[in-house]
Amino acid sequence: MNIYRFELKSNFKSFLVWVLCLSFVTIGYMAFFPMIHDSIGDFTKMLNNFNPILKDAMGIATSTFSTAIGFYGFVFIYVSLMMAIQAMNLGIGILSKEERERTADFLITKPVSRITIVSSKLLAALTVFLATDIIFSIVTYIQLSNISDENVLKPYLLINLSLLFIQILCFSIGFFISTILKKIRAVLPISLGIVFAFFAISRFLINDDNKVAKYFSPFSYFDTNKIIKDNTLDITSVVVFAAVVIVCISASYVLYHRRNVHSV
Amino acid sequence: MKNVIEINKLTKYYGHNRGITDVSFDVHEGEIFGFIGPNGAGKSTTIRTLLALIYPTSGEAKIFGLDCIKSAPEIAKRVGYLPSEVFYYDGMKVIDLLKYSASFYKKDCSERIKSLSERMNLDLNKKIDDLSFGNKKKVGIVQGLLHSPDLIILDEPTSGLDPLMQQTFFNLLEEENKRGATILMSSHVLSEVQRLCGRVAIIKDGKIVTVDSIASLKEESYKRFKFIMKTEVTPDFFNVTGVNDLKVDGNEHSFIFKGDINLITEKLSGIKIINMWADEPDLEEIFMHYYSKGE
Repeated sequence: MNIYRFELKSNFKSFLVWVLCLSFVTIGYMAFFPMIHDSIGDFTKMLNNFNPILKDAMGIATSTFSTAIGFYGFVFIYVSLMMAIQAMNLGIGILSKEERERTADFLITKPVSRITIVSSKLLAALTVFLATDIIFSIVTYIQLSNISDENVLKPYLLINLSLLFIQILCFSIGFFISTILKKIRAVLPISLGIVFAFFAISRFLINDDNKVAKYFSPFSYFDTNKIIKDNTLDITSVVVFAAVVIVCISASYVLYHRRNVHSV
Repeated sequence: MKNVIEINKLTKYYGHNRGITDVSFDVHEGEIFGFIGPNGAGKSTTIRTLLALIYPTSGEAKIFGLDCIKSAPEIAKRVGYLPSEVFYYDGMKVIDLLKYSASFYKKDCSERIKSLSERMNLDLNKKIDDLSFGNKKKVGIVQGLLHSPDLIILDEPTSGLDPLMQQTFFNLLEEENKRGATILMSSHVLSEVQRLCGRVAIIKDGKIVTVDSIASLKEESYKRFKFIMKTEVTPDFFNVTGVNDLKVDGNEHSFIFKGDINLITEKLSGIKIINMWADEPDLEEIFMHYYSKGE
């Protein structure tokens, strides 16, 4: 538990920055909704002139701007992008930082198994995500319920649940990558690269016709417009999500257990 | 005598590159054991394997009778380790790091932290980032000893410490040893090994060359001689039994000698010299001797 507490402490500042920035940015965006809603006729007309591919790429559906939750679904695309970066950063960084900052000798020669080290770090990351999502959800919901005419709590929670899934997925992939690579000099370039690649794949390469391809990007497992329409999460996606996470995490356990920790 | 460390044919390859080959030696309970060799010989590789930081390609090592890889966490409870270079988490105060370190051991270490840092003259409230290399090293020392370990493993312990602090540190190690702790220290500084250790293992190119007591190494007593001659002599003038590594450059003769020094002084009696030097050869030179013996 001491490693867990230590990790929470050392990640607290960055967590605070992320959750505050994201909440405020989202509130800021959502503040535009009443304005757009008032002139929805002109707005829809304008959007209909857009190229359908571009509309898809930006995550705009016909229903998007007519309801507050639809608008939130639109904003959510960018929220999820940011959260994914946070998660990927943490995934790639949380274990590899010990070797990068040359503290691995200190930690591993303590009376703890590597299994415990990995578990503590996983638990700490999960705590960070849950805390981020809960705070973000509460703050954003206060505003959403103000501007929405109907009760949207259930689709809202489902959308934000999919956010947790995206975070865990990105984290697991990052975690796995960090145990494969021998040495990671800088975390941010790698995590940004991977997340933007995922984002681009989900925006430009994947459409509804392709049932398998969507599992290649964490962003396309759950379609927010679909969540709003069906009021439920796609169960197949949940199963695939669980499978990918389990594979990544178990592989990380095995790889880190066997890892040779070199001096510098 | 009980063995605290038993290393048996330990071998580690990095891909095709040699790390260590068939390293075997034992460290007895209660002794201070030196592990010497030049940089890159495999000292750190051996130590890192003992600590389960890296995995051996073949062979095994036991600490307290337990397999050093399989029982690593169990062993670590009773081991204190001081790495050659010390790095700690950013932005932490010395006391926070020491408390974090202590939190891994199921005992109260606050008294030890206090007395050790007083001994080492270490300011607990400073940020580790702001410390000099030598002071960081002190953090490492306190960190490695705060749980009163039964086995202390040190990798190049004195680099970066000023002579006064080295002295304090050596006294501290000797006290720990009297308390009952076994000590394994690697070094390439022969004098500190001679000062502290009872026995040593010499490693070269990943292989153990010799395991011997300091006393018998001293009996073998190597000396490095250099003479600048006034009298003209033949290049093989000093080529007698016990002379190794003889180099002649004009009227300058240098060599490593092992044996009865009177043999050399007798040779000098009939001739005139301009200058002479007699030194303890450094480790590298003794090493060369062991190395040429193997060839």
